[in-house]
Amino acid sequence: MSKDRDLLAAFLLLLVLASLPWWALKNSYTMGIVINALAFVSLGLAWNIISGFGGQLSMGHAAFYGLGGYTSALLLTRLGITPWVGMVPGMVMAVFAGLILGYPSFRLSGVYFKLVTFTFGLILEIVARSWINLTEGDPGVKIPLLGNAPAMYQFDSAWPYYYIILGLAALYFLISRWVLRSRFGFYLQALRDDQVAAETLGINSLRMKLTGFALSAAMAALVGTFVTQYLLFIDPASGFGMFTSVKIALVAIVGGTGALWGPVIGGLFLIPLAELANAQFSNITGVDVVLYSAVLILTAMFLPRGLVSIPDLLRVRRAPQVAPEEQPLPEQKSRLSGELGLTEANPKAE
Amino acid sequence: MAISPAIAILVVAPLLFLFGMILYRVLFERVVIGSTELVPQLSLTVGISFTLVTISQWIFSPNHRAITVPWTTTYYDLGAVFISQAQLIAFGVSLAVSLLLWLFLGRTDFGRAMRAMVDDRDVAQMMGVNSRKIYTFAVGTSAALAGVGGAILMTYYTVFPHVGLQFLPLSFVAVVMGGMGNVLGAFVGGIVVGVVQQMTGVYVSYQLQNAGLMVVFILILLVRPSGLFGKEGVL
Repeated sequence: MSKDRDLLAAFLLLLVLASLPWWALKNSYTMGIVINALAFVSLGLAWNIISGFGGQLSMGHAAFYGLGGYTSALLLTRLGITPWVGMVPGMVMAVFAGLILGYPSFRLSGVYFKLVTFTFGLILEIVARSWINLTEGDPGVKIPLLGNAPAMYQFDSAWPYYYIILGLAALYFLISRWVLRSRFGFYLQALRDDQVAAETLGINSLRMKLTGFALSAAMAALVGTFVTQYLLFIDPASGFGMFTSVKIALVAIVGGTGALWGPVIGGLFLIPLAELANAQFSNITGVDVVLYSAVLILTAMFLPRGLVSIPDLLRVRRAPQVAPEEQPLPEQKSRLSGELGLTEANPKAE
Repeated sequence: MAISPAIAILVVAPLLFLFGMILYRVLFERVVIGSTELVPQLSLTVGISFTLVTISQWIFSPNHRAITVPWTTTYYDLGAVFISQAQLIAFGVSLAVSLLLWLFLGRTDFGRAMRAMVDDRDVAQMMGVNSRKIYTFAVGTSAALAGVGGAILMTYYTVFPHVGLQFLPLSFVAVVMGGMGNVLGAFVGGIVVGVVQQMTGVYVSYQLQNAGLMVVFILILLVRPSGLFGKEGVL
């Protein structure tokens, strides 16, 4: 998709989503589903920056989400600071944590980062459970009810929340699009595709990855504050839990890792699906978990590039219908050598 | 019907070994082999883990359960510390298992082939190592060892469907801190994890024991990125 068509499509989608509360989402339950989906679209977009574009899989992204939510919630309950301000320290905490985790693990390749982020989320969950003096432990932090208090990030209907998260998701989409087309984004993707080659060309890999990770962490933290204010509640499991981390990654993976549209499509498809399944089989607990797991396993086995790759797959299926002799040979060859990163090594061969 | 955990291990280990091998042949193999991408591997293993946890929730309910064996209530007074018999037995079993694994990896042809696969899969295959056999066996062994660990821990912990998540970060920290792919490292790492946890618990705050562990973990990685016993440049 060209860049203009991306923007146009995004704008149309934004219009449709913005109009939904007027004609489709008649009650706060259905609105809640879309709010939840949009929150995960935003989280998926945040995750996609470091893990999709940068190729560094964060398996503990809930940690940053939770840091954002917990920081603003505790600042509100303890010091009465409005979450509109409290979300900034939340982002700072997330960035700080990201730098501390990223610095040792980015210097090692591959698995370490994945495992360190994964562990970090789990450890934060345990800390949030056990450091009761600070975090109020297992029961979680409840935001005091203030009625309609826009200055305190609290509203008495779902509408304002809906438009806040829609705006945030749109902003994150624009950030992702900007990153993809910026020098910084090209560096990140070059590092993902071939770190040695990229470093040889003078890209400071540690710095680029740390920047990407910090940006991604800050974005996740902001969503954390939003969801905490929307639900008026955060607890260790929903804030830092492995399931939240996996859901964040899942949204992007199912949609298409590293693709601009991946988290958007994944989130809007997956979250409502899980909600529907939960509503349908409300007598069985954990239906959504099994559904997510099944989708994960199936995606891993049959659609490693996610939902966005379906058009490409269809195109490949259709390609062999062209008779072999009609296929323009030189073009095919140059495309292949382009993919391999080779210049025409032997142009006279044919 | 009551079966002592000591005997249960003899049942659990082969069963999980089999389960691991089946898992590899049925699912892992289709995704892991020939793919350098981490996303599918990760999706698959996390998906399996969630499925198993949820299914065990349906079957066994999410409640905590504990078993009582005579070992749990017997304590030895060593002057400064009390040690329960169960913990002593757990230590003995883990020592024995680590020693066996170490001997297996270092002294047998199969173990050497396994390590060669880690160092360089292509070359190992050229030398006639059957990668499929090795991977199947490795996943099976890994599952069996985790099962033994679980069976032994349950003599002095409670068990519930999510229990694995409590030990996952600890075992991961132990392995990475010791140096990945190193049996001695994992063993020493495990001891460091326990000692740091308990020391933080006693001298700083019980609530902060895992935070203390994380601090030590990150400090060690900053100084020795590949772990205490890890070779430079591995992974």
